[in-house]
Amino acid sequence: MVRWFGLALAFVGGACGAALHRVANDAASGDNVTLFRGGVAHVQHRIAVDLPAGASSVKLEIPADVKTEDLDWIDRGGLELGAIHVCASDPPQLIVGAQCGSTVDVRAPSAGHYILSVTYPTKLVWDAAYTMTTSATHDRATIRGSIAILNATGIAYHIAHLRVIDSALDAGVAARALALSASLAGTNVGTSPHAEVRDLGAVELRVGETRVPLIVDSKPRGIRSVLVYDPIGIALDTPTPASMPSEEPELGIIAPASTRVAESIELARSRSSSGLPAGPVRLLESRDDGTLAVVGESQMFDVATRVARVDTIEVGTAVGVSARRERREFSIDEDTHRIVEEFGIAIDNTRAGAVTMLLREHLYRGQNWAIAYASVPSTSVSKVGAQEITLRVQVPAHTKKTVVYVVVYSW
Amino acid sequence: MGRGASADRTAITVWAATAAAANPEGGDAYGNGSTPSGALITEQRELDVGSGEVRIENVAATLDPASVRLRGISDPQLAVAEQRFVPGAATPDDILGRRVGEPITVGTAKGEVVGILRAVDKDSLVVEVGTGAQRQLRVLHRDGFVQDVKLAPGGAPAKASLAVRLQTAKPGKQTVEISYRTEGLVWSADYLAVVDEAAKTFDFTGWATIKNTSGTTFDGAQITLVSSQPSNAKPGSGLTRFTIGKPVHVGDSESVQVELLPPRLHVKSRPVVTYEAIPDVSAVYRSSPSTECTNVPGTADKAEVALEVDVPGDPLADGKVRLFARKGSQLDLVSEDSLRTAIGLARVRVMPTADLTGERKILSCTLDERTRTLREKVEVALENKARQPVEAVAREFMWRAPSWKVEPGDETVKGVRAAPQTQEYRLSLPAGAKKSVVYTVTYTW
Repeated sequence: MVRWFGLALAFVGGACGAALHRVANDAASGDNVTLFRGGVAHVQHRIAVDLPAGASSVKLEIPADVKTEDLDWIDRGGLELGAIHVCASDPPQLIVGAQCGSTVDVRAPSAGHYILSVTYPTKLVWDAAYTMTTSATHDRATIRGSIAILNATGIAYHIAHLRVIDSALDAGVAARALALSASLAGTNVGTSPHAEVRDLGAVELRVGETRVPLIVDSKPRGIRSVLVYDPIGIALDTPTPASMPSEEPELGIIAPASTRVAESIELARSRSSSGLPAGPVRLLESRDDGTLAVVGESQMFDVATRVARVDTIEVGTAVGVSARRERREFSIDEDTHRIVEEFGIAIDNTRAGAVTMLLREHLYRGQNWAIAYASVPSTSVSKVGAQEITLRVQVPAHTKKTVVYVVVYSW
Repeated sequence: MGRGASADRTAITVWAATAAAANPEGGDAYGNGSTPSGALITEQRELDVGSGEVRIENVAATLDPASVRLRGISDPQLAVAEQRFVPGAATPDDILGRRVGEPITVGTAKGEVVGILRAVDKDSLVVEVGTGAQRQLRVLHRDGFVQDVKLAPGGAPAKASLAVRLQTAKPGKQTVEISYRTEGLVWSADYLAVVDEAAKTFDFTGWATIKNTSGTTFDGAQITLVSSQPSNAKPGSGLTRFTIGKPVHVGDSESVQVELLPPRLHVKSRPVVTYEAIPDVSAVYRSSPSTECTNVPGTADKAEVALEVDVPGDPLADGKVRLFARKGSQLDLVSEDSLRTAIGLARVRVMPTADLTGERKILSCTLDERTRTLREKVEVALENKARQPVEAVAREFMWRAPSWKVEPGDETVKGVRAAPQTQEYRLSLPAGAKKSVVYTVTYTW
């Protein structure tokens, strides 16, 4: 039985004239695949093979998008590696009368079982999605999630460890470089939260789409109602840290901020949700007659709220509650490298009962910032992402309340 | 006679696929010369030399005919009387075009058409059928109607070849050496560094990728790779060469990866923070020195955390290095960047840092036009703002002219020549400490 899928490896007739051999069945030699946002995956492929002593030429299967120079042979397993021959597709050309197959020349010191390991980047597109099912009382909900991976490489992978890191490859690499740099030279690690690694376990990734569950624990969890005011959203966020914050005075205030407040469901994140990738979530209501109805749709575990303790799902517009965002002060001090910006958010609750408001504020000018003042207790102010805070406030019935905060950007 | 002959011995020298250094001030640096490109092929063939034309097949389709040199091994008096390069045919249209005037059998939806191919284009084939009064031309549309084309055996070869007439006093089988320059063969270097969990040692390997689009295959070739870096052997000894130990099969349309240097496993690595106060503008002034004291490059102010490893011998070829961190059986990519090479060592960049800052001052500058010398006294001050001590390396570019020297008495910290126009100074900086180096460089031209 051939158990190897990623890099199918078998002897081919070559200079050594070796006979065709089956690839060994070795449980310790599965692949490691790390998925990054943007469809890039890093594959660490282990190849187990039984070899005779001396030189052999073995067939090598790699995805078509992998360049020869991107193959990194990280473990030779005691074999001497010779030349690696890969059919060139760059530049594309018609090959007249040529047979093209990729092979590795190896030399084994003695007959035996060997495991090679090679890494390369390739394309594996994926998407995560979640559903939250709640009862009509909206007090508990069950979450389910899965990640769908489209393997169009033409190669089936037997993966011992599938991991997902919900950031672009560059950002994921930069986070590790930052950590290594800090350990080597004591350099500043920065305060921007990085994506956690989520281990998805052993997976058989055949050609085509494979779905892997993300949340195994499906016990119902408590949810509660909250009103969310998020007039800016993530549109102005700067995805890559810039050394200088934006000094554009009109940024974020040119279009008057919306006064709409969203009726939402709030769910606390559990420790087990660490590293879950962002994706859309549909809130389904389970009715007494057994039917399900979609009552809301939102985004969970979003990059912008990477370190948030709760997720919110909008279910409609809040009636009887409105809010208005206004900038009160803006100053730039080039000498001390500081930008100071003050905002006031006026909330008007005309309802007969008190409401809990969650104000989402986006610190879109840069990623180096500090909240210098907030008119609500500090325990009500939370950093939820690299450029986002939330301010939680109770507004009594028939009351107007204004929340003020001051952000200081530095560089 | 093709390469199937028994006396084949092939040597290939490939130059690195490195773009010419960009001139940061625009325009070309006049007089720098150009770096060779492509490859030099030298092969031994057995040819049956007579009075007629000899066909040497399976040569590179991209060869430069003016560079072909043929030398008799069996008969040193062998001389070339005439030489023609017959280009190869790489596409079906090329192949058909080369068979105009030859017999052809075309399979169509209405049966086979047998005749002489008279013309071909992308839409149709023109075949002459019949003889005498029955002779006629048939235009066969290639889009759907033509199903199959059979060409007569032999005929014009699809691969590029050289046709030569040779003069010799010893007709018959002879061994000759043929050499030529060709495009379509390039190489580039790639390095792999795998650091252990404690970041104390790493495994360092280097690979060369040779891409062959020359249109031919080379069996058992002795490969020499030439980098764009000058050799350390002695001044003016030319570019660094890497010889691949074993013969290599380089197939047509193939990329071949071969090991560039013996793998260096579990080697001790040193963390350093490099600092470059100014950009390296040496290339601009290589042929015309900068003799104006007021002419100074802009600031670079670039600090990088790097892992450094000793690499005795010639500098490594320019190339990309991927740094992985090993954690158990898992490898994580940490950085991917150009390998920083210096004489005797290589550095793998981890990431830029703002925790090492510096300031460069020119303390004095004296031009002596009579002796054609310029003396410049420079101070580089570094400050470590990190939480722990660092080994800082101030990289100073002696950019004004290729001929320069720093006498031992001219520097407060002993420097090391790291590249033809680069001097490096090492300073151990405790956390929060400031240190400086002062040196005087003398340029001559």
